[in-house]
Amino acid sequence: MIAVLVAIPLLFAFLTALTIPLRMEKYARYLFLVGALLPWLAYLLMGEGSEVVGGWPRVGGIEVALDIYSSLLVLGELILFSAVALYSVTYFKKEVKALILLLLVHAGLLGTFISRDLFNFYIFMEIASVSSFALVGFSGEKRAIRAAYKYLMLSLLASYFFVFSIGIIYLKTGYLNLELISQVSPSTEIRAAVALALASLLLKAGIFPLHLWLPDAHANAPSPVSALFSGAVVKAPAYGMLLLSLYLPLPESLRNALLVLAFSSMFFGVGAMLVEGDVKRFLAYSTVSQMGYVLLGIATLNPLGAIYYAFAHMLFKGGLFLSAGAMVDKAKARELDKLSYRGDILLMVSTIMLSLAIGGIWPFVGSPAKAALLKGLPYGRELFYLAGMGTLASFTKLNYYLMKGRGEESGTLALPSVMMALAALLAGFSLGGSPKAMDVYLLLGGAVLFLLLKASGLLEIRLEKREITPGDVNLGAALFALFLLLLLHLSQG
Amino acid sequence: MINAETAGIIVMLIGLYGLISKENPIKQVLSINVVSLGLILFFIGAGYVEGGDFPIMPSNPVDPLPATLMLTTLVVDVAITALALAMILRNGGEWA
Amino acid sequence: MKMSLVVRTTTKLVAPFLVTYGAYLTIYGYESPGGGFQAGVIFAVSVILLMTAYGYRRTRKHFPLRTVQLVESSAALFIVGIAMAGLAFGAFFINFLRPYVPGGTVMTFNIGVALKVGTSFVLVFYILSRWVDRD
Repeated sequence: MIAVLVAIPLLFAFLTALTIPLRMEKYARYLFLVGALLPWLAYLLMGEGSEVVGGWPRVGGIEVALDIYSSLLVLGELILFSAVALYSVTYFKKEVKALILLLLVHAGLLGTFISRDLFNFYIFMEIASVSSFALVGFSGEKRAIRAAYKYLMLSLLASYFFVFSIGIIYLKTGYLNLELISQVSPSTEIRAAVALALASLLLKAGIFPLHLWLPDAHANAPSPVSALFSGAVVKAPAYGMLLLSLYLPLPESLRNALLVLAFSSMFFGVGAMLVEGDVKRFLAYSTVSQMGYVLLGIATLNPLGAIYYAFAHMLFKGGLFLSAGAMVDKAKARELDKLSYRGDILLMVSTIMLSLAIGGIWPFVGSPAKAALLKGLPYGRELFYLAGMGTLASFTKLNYYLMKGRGEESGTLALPSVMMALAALLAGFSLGGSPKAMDVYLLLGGAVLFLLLKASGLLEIRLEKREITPGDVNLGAALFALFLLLLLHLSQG
Repeated sequence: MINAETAGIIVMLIGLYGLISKENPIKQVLSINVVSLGLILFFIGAGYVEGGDFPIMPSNPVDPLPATLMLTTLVVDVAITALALAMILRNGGEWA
Repeated sequence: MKMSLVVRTTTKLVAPFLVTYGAYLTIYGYESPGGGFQAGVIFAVSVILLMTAYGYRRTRKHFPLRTVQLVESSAALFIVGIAMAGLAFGAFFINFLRPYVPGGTVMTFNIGVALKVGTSFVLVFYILSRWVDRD
């Protein structure tokens, strides 16, 4: 019965597609809304549990499960998609095809988060990815189509090497089910396969050296689609890395390498955010930085911390992209100097609430997530606090630029972002957390850091805009090959 | 005599080299197709049992699972190749 | 640039036999090599063969775009509908037709997949040819 969660969005996606040849396009929006909101009913009626689809025994069937890790991620994805659905019904007025693709992304993501079988996970991740390739280039301008092409090439290369590693695991153990794989004793081939799979999932999740596709793809997509990408689609490979670390052996050297990558990703993201002038690229670099936090939880074998932080990031990053989208769609420009939320009280309050949440301040959901991550960290607490201060400094920069200038009322487009801010507040209360003195120090430190950087003129550095060329794909593939060799070498030690 | 698994890995590495060194977008799409062909060759070759029957009434059957997995991968590959070629056509200019 | 008379007559005669072969692969797909995806590609190839011989516009008059889209969406709905109908008989996706039809729901899935894949590829070629024709 758990698999019905995936079948409902698929059914409504095909029903919406049926309205195009029958010339009934005015009913497409209602079918889309029903398909987006009906899985809530199915999720609340089912408890936790695991089952094999169709009633077959576990060795011959596909297992799906809703345990403590996946049910939290499914809840976050349902909240985020409800807000995105409300926004996109207003944004995509006449284009039915975008609504069909959004429902297919929804079905793919739900299937990824409940699967407990390696190949099933790969297939649903591909359904979500292929639909998102088409959605990135939807607006039709040259820049968006080039960004979609680069995203397609790099993501497909990583998928093929992921299937290669699934093949090696299947041929060595004879099973595809994760529970049955974990009972087979490890050997050199399985460790090499785990290294290959980790390299592929690192590219799809957008960690530092392999992040080249992320800023272009997330910035040139339409606004509700960017919120869905940065919120949920980059979480699916992170969930895959979590499954691999729970059921398959990760050698010590590989975990140290992941720890180094996580910290470098956090600092690189913060550094790029401080010199970026385009609001959507700013938020995309912030995604690169925050995925470093999730990787930190996986590398220190702290699955609860990683899942709490992934859930928290879905809520606040989705909300930030939706509020940025409301401003960008009214002003038709993306530079920070031209945007403002001055005239709109609701948008201003929700952006400030979400910026406090991403910094980890007390009542919002970032605070218990960061506390759970810190609990499993053996060393490096100072670096963690430094990265948090850098995040707060960059979001002070965002709010500073948005506070100046003049803006207008955004009407109903501001409503989804208010929804996400309230969800972040409620989730913070329900996950539990306590006010810490460290929060005040970090907030003050972030503001002081921002004022220092602004006074010294470092924030005025603007990188010139560069076109996307096919040479970027060459660079991305070369970096991926380098990482394959590096991780393969480290796993044999 | 090279067996099929080694040949599959070599073809995948040739495709990866093509993706690193070619600048023309159509040649990049062709290199990705070569990577997928190498992957399929590796899977089918590694799942072969010498002198086995077809897997309907099991007397000494070849494993049917690698063929089914590769069929699914082929479907994904064809759909994405069509999408990539449509994107290249839509760009015009110095891309294609 | 028109294709010669030999090419046009031969493709007109051969194309229906391709459809027959595709139907054979679909219906016997549960116990011999073949199945939904392979048969769907052969259905699409029969239309694409006509498109290369006669040109895109003339083929589109006989296989109109709206019919192709209708068959595609209905076949997809048919597949998901059969899967959810298994809920009434027990678990999701269960094989409830096995006493009545040889192979059970495997045959219905094969037919649905073949129709959907065939019409999808025809649609892709219609759209790509429309762009190339315009250049």
